[in-house]
Amino acid sequence: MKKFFHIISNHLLMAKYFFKFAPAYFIMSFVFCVYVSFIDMLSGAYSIKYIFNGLSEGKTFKQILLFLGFVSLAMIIRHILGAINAEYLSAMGWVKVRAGIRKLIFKQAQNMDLVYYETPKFYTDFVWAASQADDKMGEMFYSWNVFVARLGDILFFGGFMLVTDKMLILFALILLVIRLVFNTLIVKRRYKMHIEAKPHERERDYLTRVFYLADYAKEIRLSDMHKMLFKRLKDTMARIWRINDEAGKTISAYWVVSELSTGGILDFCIYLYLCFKTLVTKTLKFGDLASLTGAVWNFAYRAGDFINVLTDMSEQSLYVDNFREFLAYKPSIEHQNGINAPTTPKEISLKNVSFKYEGADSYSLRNINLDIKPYEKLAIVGYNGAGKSTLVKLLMRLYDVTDGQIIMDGTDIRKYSTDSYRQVFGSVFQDYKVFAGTIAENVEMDFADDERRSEIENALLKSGFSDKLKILKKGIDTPLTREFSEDGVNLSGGEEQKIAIARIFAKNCACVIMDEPSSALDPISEYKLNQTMMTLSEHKTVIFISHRLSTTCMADRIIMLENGEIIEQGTHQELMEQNGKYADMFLKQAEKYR
Amino acid sequence: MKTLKNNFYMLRLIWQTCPMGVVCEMLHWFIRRVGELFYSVFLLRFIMKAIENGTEFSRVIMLLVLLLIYGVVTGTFIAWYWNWYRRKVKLKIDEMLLGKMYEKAVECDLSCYENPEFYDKYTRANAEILQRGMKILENCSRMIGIIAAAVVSICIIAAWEPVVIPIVIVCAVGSILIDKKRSNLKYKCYLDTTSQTRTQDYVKRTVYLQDYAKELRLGNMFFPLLKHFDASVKEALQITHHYYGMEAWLRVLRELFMSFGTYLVAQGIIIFRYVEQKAYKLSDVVTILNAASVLQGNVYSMSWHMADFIENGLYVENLRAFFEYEPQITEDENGNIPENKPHRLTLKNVSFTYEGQSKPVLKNINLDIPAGQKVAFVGHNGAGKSTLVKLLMRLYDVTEGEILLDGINIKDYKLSEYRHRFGTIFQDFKIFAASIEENVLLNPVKSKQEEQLAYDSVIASGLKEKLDTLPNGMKTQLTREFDDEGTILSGGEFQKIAVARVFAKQSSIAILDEPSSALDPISEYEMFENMMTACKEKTVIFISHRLSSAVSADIIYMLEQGEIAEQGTHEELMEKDGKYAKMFNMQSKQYREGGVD
Repeated sequence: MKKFFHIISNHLLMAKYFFKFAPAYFIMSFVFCVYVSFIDMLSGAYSIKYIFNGLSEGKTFKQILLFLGFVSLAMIIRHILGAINAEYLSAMGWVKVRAGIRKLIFKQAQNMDLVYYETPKFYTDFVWAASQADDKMGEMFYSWNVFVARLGDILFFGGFMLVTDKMLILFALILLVIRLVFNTLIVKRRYKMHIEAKPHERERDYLTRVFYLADYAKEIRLSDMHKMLFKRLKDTMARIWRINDEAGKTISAYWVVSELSTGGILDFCIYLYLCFKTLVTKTLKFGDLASLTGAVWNFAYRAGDFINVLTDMSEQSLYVDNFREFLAYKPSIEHQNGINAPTTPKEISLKNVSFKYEGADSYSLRNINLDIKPYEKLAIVGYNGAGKSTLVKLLMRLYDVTDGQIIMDGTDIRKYSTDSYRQVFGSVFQDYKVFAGTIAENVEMDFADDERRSEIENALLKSGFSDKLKILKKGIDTPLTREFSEDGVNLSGGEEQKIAIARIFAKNCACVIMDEPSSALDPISEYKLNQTMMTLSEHKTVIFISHRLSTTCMADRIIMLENGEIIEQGTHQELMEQNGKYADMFLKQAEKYR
Repeated sequence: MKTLKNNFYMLRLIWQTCPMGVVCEMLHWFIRRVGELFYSVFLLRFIMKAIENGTEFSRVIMLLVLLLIYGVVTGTFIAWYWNWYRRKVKLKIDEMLLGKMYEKAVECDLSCYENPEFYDKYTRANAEILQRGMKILENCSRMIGIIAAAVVSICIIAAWEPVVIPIVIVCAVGSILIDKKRSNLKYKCYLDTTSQTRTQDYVKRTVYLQDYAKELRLGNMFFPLLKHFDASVKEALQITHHYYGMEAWLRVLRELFMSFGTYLVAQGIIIFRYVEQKAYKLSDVVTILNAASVLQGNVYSMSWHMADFIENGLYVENLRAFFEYEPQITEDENGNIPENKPHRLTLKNVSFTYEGQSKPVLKNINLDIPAGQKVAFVGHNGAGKSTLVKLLMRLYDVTEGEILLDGINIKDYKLSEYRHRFGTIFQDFKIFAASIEENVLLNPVKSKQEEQLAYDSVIASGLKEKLDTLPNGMKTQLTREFDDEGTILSGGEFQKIAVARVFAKQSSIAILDEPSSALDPISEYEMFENMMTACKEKTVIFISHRLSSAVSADIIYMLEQGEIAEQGTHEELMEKDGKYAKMFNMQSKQYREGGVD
């Protein structure tokens, strides 16, 4: 019972949102459902009874025509309501509901800490699940409609049978029970089948993806891989069939029994009973018989649907549980209040910092101690997976440390307000993204105010984008990507990177963080970027990660990470003299250039 | 007409795969639709007649027993077909369509993937291929069932009251015309709101995809995006209001037309004739009225299925365009088979322009690559390096000029054999969900020798250590596509597998398209060492950004804007002090200054 109330309250929550976004459609739909139930009973049962009984009793044409007129009027109202509801209100309503629910999710998702995006378990349960809400809302709304409509049917058709012949209710109930019993069996078996077939279906979907995605096209053309994949596809389909075959035999056996006992034997009994009462005892009129045969089936089918929709609703309720949790989420990092962070470069120290990803077995960073002086140029190097990117994410407070603390200007960074703390840093990542928006917005990463325009143009000049900018007619108001407008411009990889780099120049920040920004650049562009970077950052702290050790020579200090620990640090000269791992790495890269 | 043709095209494909399925599906819908007539028309007529004539009850029972038998037979058939055999039919159709589709996909030119229009067609065809086949069979069968039932009821009505027929037909035609207009409006609305939908979907994507999460948190980009979102919702509402305002009224009109015509007028006429003119018996009235209501129901559902029919037609149109696409680079069964020996590649005046573009990517390239030479292509992004190697492998055909292998135009070779002469690693190489050995051989493993070959190649590419830690060794399944226990290797290890492919392929030409970009410096160094020893006998063509790898090449070609700007050995080019030298010095400066103590 408690579970039942929980389900109801979950659905009421979603219904409340729906009502808020599209009240007219919401109300109209349910009114319409009940009205349709009434009309179905009127035209599908009562009018048959009335006309045939009326004709055999010798009612006048006028009387019957009047009745028909009345029914037609009711039908016309139904159709007008239906047209307005199903076409206009629904089209408008869905635009509103979808937008409303999406905005609700956007606002909340903006508050989620980054960890929730990067830990697969959280991501699927939370972010991805929430993003499905607009589709789920559709399913639920459909369920509510069925719920109301079938409830109406049970009342109207049940009432009609009660008034005409009470015995029929009994038949209808038997019919209902048999159907439900077999339905449950079939649903269970079908569910089992789906579970069994799932891995094979996944295999099939993978294979179709390989053929479909452009990424694989080259390799497939240059080898005989496709022959093997075709064979796999065939085998997979055969396995799917075997599972379907086995389940199909059982399900169709259930179905045969169910069909024969209801559609065959029970139906036979109903007709026998009705014919007996009409022809032998003559207690039932022909109109009653003609209308009741339909009513029994209508009642049983629709009551069955009613019970099925309850199962759907309890399943949907599970989704709402997730959604509720999502809405109730309180971030521990994003948009937290605190004191304002300083706006000029200050010392940043890491004290015994360790970090472990949620659910991971081992630490990504262990016991890091590091003081970064204001205006220092610090390079972080190391192999793939050494923890370089994690370290800079901790610095920007995209994550919070697991152990230890990070201190800026003598204050634990968790005491600053997150928004003001992030203003301290300008950053560009290896996997930078360009957004659909104007160039100015993309550089500013916000609305571009008029007084900022010259600053933005200046930043683009520094990042080496000005040549391209000159040939764009709309200048910095050029929309990027074709997502929002057809005349949007798609930039090349190198050009996009320049936009991303311009973000740092435009932001009036105290500390610059670059996570392998030059990886997609060709040598000349890389060289130019390094030059500009050095001139720009005289008044800033610079922290950069790079694979190419040629870049790191310019740093004041280099730290080398291995397995989450700092193994070497010092200037380039010092590290070369030390003749350790850094020197080894550098010499291997430099060998060919000598 | 086109719609009809397209649907028929698909039906024919299905018929060729599974004729029994087509027969059963049609029979099934026929029974469902026409069976309805038995109960509501014939049975009720019989009972009414029994009342009128005072027929013996035993005869009524007899009829009910007959009906019971009919119910048992058809019920069993439907249960068997719907729950069991139909699944098989669906899978057969799926297999046929998937097979046809992907055979085509493998056959069609690589350039198709880069042609947005073509790829869009392919995307749409691919998205629904697992549903559409069965849907089309069902839709057509349903319509045939409906038409059969409608014809029977029209005959019944016509036997007593032909006057009703034109009324029903006028109403049916009228409502179909209105429906056409309605679906036009809906489609227009869909088209006009495409850009709004795209905007909204895009904003949703940026919010929930991981890729954007960092940057959204470090700036305020979310607000400009939200502004676009709000604006697009407003526009979508305006457009929807415009079209669906009209559409709703058309639907009202259609419903009035239908219900007024069939319900009031047709029934009125029949009842009038019975009550006022005593034209027929009550049992006849029962028959006609019920037949009319069955007809009405069928006309009604016909209009729904008609909409699906049209939609299916559009889908098939698209699919057909894909199936009937003629690739330009085709397998020439009678083509020459290149001998298994080192080859000489010659390019004569080769130019290439991507389809739909006006500017050539490569202009007038002349090259001669003797057997066993180590060739490096260097140049800026977009200089045409990758395009050039794709031309060599005949992934595209040249626009002008010709490419010769041992003096014979490569178009005269058998395509698959020609491509077998190359072993390639691309920058964006892919690992398949299969075992390590299959991934190396890119082929099913057929013999012990092949097994050994795959093993040797993996060892040569430097994966021995990793291989020793894997309990299943070379049979280890890669990626988690098929099972959650699958092995995921690191980026560097995956790359070594890709390198092993080149070793395993007994090709005479190896092509490396920036293979080292994802590697850290030491792995990159080791890979190059391995590559060079393993490919001593082979011709090696490689593309690299990092000029350090070009130093040891026999010849370096520097490409600029689709043309060969400079060529020669490293020493020659350095002496020449041209563009290559400038680029090399820029890169090496830091290393030289920092490295020398």
